[in-house]
Amino acid sequence: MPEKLLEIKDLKVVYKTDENIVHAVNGLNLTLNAGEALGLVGETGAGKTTTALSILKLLPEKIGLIEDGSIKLDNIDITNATDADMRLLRGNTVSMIFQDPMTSLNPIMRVGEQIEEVLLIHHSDMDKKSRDERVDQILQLVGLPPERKYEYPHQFSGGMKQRVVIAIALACEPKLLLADEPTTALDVTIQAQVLALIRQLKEKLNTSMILITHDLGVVAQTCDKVAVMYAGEIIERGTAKDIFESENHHPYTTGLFGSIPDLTKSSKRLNPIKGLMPDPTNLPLGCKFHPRCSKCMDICKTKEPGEVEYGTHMIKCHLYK
Amino acid sequence: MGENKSKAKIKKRSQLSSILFRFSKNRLAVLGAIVFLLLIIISLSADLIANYEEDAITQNMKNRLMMPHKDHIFGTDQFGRDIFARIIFGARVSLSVGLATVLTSLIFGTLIGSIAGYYGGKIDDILMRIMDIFLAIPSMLLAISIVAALGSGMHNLLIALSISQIPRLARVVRSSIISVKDQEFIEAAKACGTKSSRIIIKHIIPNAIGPIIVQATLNMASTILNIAALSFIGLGVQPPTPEWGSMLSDVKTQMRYYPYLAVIPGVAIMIAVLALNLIGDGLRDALDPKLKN
Repeated sequence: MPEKLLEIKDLKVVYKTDENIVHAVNGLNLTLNAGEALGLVGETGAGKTTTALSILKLLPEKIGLIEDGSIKLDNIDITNATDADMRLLRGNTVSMIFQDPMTSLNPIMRVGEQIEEVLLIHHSDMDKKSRDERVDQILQLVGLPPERKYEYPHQFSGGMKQRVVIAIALACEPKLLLADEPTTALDVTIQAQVLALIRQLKEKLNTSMILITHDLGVVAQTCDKVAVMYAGEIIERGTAKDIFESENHHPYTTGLFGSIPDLTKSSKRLNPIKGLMPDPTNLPLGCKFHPRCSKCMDICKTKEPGEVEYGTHMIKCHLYK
Repeated sequence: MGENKSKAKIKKRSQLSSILFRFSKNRLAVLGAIVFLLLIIISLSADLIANYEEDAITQNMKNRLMMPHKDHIFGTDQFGRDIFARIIFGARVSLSVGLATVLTSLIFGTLIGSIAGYYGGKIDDILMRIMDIFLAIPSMLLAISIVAALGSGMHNLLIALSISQIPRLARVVRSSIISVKDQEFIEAAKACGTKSSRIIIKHIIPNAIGPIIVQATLNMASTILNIAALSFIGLGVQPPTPEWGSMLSDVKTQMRYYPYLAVIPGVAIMIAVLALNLIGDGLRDALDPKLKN
């Protein structure tokens, strides 16, 4: 039985603004074992980043709120953890790679110092020399020459900055890595390198990972498990094999696959999913996907579907019973 | 071997030395720094150049109102005191009170401004409304009333000028902190488990320091002017202590026939203020590593 690292139960997150309440995550269930990589897939606004920020407890202050549910990371109850407890976890047990490497580095600190800072916070027993060695080592690990640690972020290209960000995230060998679209800002060759790097490091350090992306190709390459998110809930979940090879799918997942160009088929047009994500301040009754669903039935408009499981494969749709 | 050497070279250039390097490229700023340093050296070594009691304080009616010549290169005033000696001893007062005022207001202003800017909400409201109350009173009037309440003298002058500078500085600090704190690298730092105090000190303030430094050097210049102004109206440094502002004030009646009496302390004030403004400009550019050239 593999060790359970992360367990999210019935998570509900809202953003409260003066005008209205945004339901960003609505009853999300997720478990992740040590060493596993999970791909969190979905459209913009599906609540993927919100989920990641909830794990770090870094939702925007005063606005973002975990309304219900529990998050357990490494047997620690995140939902009830104090700020001081969270600071010990962040960067050490769980760390995050942000979307945009251009803005996620401090522009006036040398990159070496920025990597060193995480070590300084979480390994106060390390002396300057061993910290320096570790910085060199981690830079080499992500494929950057260690001499460049004396340079500033603006002297690096986008791909190299993202390597620095990855280096910072991995400096303390976290148990869980949250990668929020780590390759979106990079070109395809660098993207492949960075993904290979992440995969390789994940195996070496036995790190678990949640990879947030809208690129199904990236997921297929990197992840063991896949969860498809729609309007703040997971509508389909399973191993990579379940998602990429099985016949049974949630209509939304089918739609997602239909939106990817396939070089082996000679279709003239892509089949995008019609319509837009529902307004998160005013979600539809029943299944949240029903207004866009081609297989919509009467029951979908009134009753929310339950989670139907076939072994490792879960689908939340009235089509399956 | 060669590679090792070049590595060591890169490493050697610390944060401070690269700031100095960029600063040294700005010729006007270097000129300002040299002039300012000279002023400091002169005021520190004033005792070696002239005798405080004899030249700057003791009245000597025999020598009164002499035009500049070789014994008294700036001439003498209406009491026969050597103006050059009074200028260099006056520099002591202006520079030390100016520097102390700026440091005090910088410490308190940065503290108040960064707490208000970083935490926001109620804390911000309370702190900033208090600052607004101070800002509602003209700073000169505020300084005058504080000096009037506490009595004139160097220490009270310092307190009065610091209090009148803090609100302005706190506002500048707060706004530049706010512009930095919502950037993604702050969030990234939080995601690494960095403490709030460390985020403020290591990430936010260094990124926001440019406007703060510029404001502080400009404050120092205006403080020197304020010391002179307060002394001019008799609330600052008391005679016979030499001070540039009070020197100007002393010669009010002679100014018409002996203009050099007013011009010399005036020029001294101008040089000090100009040098500080040039340094402020240079520092702003030097503190920003992104700036090309």
